[in-house]
Amino acid sequence: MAFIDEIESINSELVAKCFQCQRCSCGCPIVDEMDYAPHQIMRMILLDQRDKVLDSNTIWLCVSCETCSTRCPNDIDIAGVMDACRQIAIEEGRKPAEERIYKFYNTFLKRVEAGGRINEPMLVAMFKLATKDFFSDMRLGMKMGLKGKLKLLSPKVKDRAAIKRMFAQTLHKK
Amino acid sequence: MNWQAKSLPHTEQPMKLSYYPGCSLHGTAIEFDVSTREVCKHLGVELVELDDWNCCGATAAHSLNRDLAAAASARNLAIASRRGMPLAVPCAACYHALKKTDYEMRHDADLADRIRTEFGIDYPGGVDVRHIMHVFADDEMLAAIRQKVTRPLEGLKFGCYYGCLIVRPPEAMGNIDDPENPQKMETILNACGAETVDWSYKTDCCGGAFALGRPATAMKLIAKIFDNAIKSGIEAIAVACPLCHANLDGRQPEASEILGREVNMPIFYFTELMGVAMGLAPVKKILGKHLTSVQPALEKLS
Repeated sequence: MAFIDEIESINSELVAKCFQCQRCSCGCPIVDEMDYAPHQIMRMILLDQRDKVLDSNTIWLCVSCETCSTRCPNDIDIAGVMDACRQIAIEEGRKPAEERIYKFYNTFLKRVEAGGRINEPMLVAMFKLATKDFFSDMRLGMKMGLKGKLKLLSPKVKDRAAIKRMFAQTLHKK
Repeated sequence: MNWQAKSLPHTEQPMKLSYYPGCSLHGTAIEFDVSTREVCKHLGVELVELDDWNCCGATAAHSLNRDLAAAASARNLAIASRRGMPLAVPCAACYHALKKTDYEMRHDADLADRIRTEFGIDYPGGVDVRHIMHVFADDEMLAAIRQKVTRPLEGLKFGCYYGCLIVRPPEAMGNIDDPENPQKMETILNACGAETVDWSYKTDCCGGAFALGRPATAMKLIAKIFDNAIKSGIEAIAVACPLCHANLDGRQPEASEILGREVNMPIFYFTELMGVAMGLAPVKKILGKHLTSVQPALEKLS
């Protein structure tokens, strides 16, 4: 299957309509940190440059602000294409070019799987364990604690089977 | 284009809405929850929290798996659909996830089919998902708000900051507000007697999804927002998103370092400002929870 078809099977958007106007890249707030600008990624997908796209940091540095998708004159959901690229990269076990960002998403979803809802202090604690970065943002954390913003316990979803099924059918599907 | 929120039916007294607070409003964004509930109560809007709601999945879910994101939101929407009332959502991230999933379920039959067969969630679409801002921004509500204002918000120049998730992408978000220069928050604060300032960064991203995953990038974006706000003469910022609030309220020391000038900007949830204008004591009580003190700003207002 061509790379573009793989992407469109996840996110039914029409990358082939891209005529390289570069509006996506002009509005992207993170573009200066990316290996390839968003419009380049669109072109690379059409040229079937699968490895280059999936190993680029661009797909992980997309922060999902959807400015590109909003401004595209051809209605391409560029942010959705980046989602599809991340999904393909993870499904085939590629090492993400931005590991810390991946670890945050992964930790977040593990917390959702565990209780159906996010408890923020627990999310931060588990993320620190995953990244072995224990000392960043200590000052911010202390301030939030003193302001009574850190609630250590929060209720969980009662219908645990529904949550379990969501993960069994997606991230844990063999 | 005429950006217009469809008015809610005002026939029921009091108006009754399903309410999805989301995880943050039960935690770090407790001020947003309290102020939303108090203001609604004062305006005669009854909020009924959704039974057994789950996390919307936020950026993490759609970043790693599209069906997981759709299923997480669809489960909540199916619960809301059984209730038969519009669903009010204050958190911008939750609103975006729920509203977008409703749009996708109506426009992508394959997805709706997968969500039903593989996840056991039967949701064909159709719940009227509303950001809480859009509940307040219709004409009848604005008239009600004007009547309830006892302390007009005079004495400060406010900048309304929308961020990404309420306005983009406009079609899936219901074409309610201009995605490049939204105005709904302004109309609400103006009804509360506030002066609002036009500025360029009101829909620029604060890097919310990178607050932990890539904080250095988030701080660069935050600094740019403050730079433009200060240059526009803004003295206080109103937000409608827990992630924007956490970033703008909590990262001012880092933004000051990047800009080489001191940033000391009070960041309010717009619902807090409504509560202040209406003289609601429980709202005033929670304003002390902000990391950047809002006390000097409140003194200028009185």
